[in-house]
Amino acid sequence: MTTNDSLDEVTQAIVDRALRRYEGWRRQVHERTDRGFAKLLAVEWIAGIVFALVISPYAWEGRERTLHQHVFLAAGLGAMIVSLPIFLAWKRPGEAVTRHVIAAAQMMMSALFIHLTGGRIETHFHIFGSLAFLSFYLDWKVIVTAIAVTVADHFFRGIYYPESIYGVLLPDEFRFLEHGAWVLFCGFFLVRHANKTSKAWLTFAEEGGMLEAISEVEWRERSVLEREAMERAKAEGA
Amino acid sequence: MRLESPEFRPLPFGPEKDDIRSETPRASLGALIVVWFVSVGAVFAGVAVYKGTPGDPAGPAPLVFPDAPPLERAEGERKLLVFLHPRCACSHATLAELERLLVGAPRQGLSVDLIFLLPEGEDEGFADTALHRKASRIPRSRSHLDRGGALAARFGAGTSGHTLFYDEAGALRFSGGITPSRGHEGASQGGQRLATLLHGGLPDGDESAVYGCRLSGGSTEGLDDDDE
Repeated sequence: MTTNDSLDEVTQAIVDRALRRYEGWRRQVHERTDRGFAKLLAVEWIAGIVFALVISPYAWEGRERTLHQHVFLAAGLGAMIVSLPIFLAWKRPGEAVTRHVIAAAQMMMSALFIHLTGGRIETHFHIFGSLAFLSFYLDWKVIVTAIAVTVADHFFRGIYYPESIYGVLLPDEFRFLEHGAWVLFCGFFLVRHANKTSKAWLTFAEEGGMLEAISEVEWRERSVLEREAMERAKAEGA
Repeated sequence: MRLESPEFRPLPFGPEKDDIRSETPRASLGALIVVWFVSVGAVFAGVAVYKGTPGDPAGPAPLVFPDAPPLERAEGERKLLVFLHPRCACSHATLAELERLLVGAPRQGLSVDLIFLLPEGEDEGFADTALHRKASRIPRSRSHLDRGGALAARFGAGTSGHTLFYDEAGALRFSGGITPSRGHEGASQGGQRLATLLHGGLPDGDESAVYGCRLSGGSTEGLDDDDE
């Protein structure tokens, strides 16, 4: 074996350790964030029901009242939205599919809250807060999924039911891009942050892997010397 | 250095990647996600259809401001009437839009009357609601209780949130809702038309859909129909 071969193996050993470290960190973050979102989605579901019961419990026709559609919506649609992501966070934590489903569900909860609060401008902040939470995954693809769900919602409602979203019946056909642009504005910086942080983690992992490899080499060297010293001492004693 | 065989031990750092895979097959999971996504989308579409279904008017609104006490119109006065169900959660959006429309609009010669339904057989406590209290905080507006829905029927208002605007000559210039959908705040065709009228302009239409709870149980008994 040549020196170059040895160096290649050392390098490969360092790379393997660095990648194992990096993947380990990422997996821990993804699993932790999955669990956090599972709890958050459950809380949002309950909050939606409470909100509907307090703010709009009944629909009226003169003096006759019926349970308001918002109550069914908060309970039924809310349960539909949160069921799959919570199931995946429980059964498949840390997997890419789980965080993408969670991202889509979180943006769907934003849409549900906007419906429940009658389209209040303030509720739209939930979209931007959700994007910020989703950036905890440090995975730019998750942000893209969330933005895609929001833009798709605007796009299809803009086509089939424009007044609900733009306030006019005949909006510009590309008006959804204006709304989506503000989400993209926020998403751009979150994606950039996720990429930069991931890169920094990779550097830390590489440094850690290198230190581990050096430590192990030193340990092996020291072990051999100690063994040789012991053998020598034994021979001298004999 | 003795590095001929650097077989480093794996670090005890988190579970191995294979450990987190569950038994659920990929194809089943994909199908589950598609079903979930389509189902949620279908319900949202249904909600949009429901929220976008306008209420029916009780009848045609009088083209000239009628004699309908306690609603009175002074000579040259512009009149803005909003018919509301005091317990309609959707009508909070109407009031929010009304407040926005009135901000910055010239108020001289403009009278704003908010008419709350009081169904037959109910006492005034029925109308003592957050919506009514919110309405009373709108500056320079007057609230009225519409016993039995007689006024609503007189003005053809069948849905909470129905708004009418009469100009200086007492002619009807706008009849409709000012929200984009049921209980939903935001710019709307009706709101834009009313805003144009409030600022003295000429809108591109005089009607819009009304979204809200039904104002039923109305009666025109005791009111004359001569002014319709």
